[in-house]
Amino acid sequence: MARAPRWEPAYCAYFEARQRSFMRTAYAMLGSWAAAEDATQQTFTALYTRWPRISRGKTDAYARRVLVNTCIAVYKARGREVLRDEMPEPGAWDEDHDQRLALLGALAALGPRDRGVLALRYLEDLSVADVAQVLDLPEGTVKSQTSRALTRLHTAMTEPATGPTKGHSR
Amino acid sequence: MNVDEQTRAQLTRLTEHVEGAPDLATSVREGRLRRRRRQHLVGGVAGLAVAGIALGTALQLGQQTHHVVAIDHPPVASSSGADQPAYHDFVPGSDVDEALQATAAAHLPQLAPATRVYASDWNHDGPIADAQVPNATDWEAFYDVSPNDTLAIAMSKRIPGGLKHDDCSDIPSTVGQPLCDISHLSDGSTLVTDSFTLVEGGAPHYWFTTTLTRADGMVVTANQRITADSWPEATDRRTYDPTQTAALVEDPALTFPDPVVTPPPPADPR
Repeated sequence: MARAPRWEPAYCAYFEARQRSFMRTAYAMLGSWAAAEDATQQTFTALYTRWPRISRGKTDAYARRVLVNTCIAVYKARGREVLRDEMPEPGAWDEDHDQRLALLGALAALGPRDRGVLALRYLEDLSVADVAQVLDLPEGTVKSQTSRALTRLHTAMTEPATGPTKGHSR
Repeated sequence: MNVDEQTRAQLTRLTEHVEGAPDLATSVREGRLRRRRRQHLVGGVAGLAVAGIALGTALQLGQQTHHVVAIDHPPVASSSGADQPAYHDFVPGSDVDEALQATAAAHLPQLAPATRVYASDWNHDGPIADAQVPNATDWEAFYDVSPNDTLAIAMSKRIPGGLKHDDCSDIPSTVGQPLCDISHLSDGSTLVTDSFTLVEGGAPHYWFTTTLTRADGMVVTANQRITADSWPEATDRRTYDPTQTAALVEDPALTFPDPVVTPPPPADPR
């Protein structure tokens, strides 16, 4: 049996260190833990494929770009079905749950790239410069996308009855 | 609390109870498979470039000299319906190699003769012995399309227990690179059009890949490797566009029999 590549332990350590934060980012983009798991799994598989060629010091930027693009691909493939995974159980409603659903609904009203920008800025806590590097965009574009996405998000949050429902369409 | 802080708090609360997790063993196993497949094709195209040129030249010279190329059986009719030329018999005793060449020629105009076609399996990074051809799980064909454009076509049976390879395996790393596109077809197959760069010998090469994963898990892929200095130049130099390579990989004529004896799945498919 062939030996594992020398770099594999570093990959495994990276997987352990980042899998949770990648799951959270993917969930913010897709609104479904099942879809987030799918996208994160695909991301780490793609990372393994390219690991020796990823420049040291740029692993995070590269990995996050893979994640965002994979989420967009998963979103395109699964589309509106994604949100239906997160229907609350009857009786499970409470104030916090209500707010979470409202936020999910508001996120669903955004485009996948806008959700990606918000997740990177506010979940991964990246600077504008770092987000620009991840998405290969000018910093000005990241700023304007963030601003636009925030406005849309909070507008959607303040609208009545914005939570996703069965058969919700965007 | 300002808008930034409020958004950060809301998103944190929304995602703090993570449900599920990716599986490290799956990523390692699938990643190794992909690396092996890629090295297989990259090695086939890049590594065989010199040998391929020599072989292709010899093949062309042979055709010019003798005007006859041996074949096992009459060439398989392709979807073009046109009269078929003879194709080189790379794998004696099998007509899959001729059928593969005929189908490729039917979809890709002005396609040069293949430089190499062989049967393989998921435990080998090259051709398997002739006696093992009935047990093949992979067939591959290589072409020098132009001085800057090489093409590899591969058909692969699904490895038992393996996942479908129907997603984007790479990402745009250069401004101007086309994005990966995934289409789910009505017959249950998935078509992925992707592109990426690989540095070989210190110089970047630009890859355009079209991959069809059929409902049964069989994968048919066409990879073009372009020598260029930029994505726009690579796109200009690419001989066949994604529409043509998609029509090729979607052609049901690109198939081969299931192995008579299925080889064991790769224990460490690196």
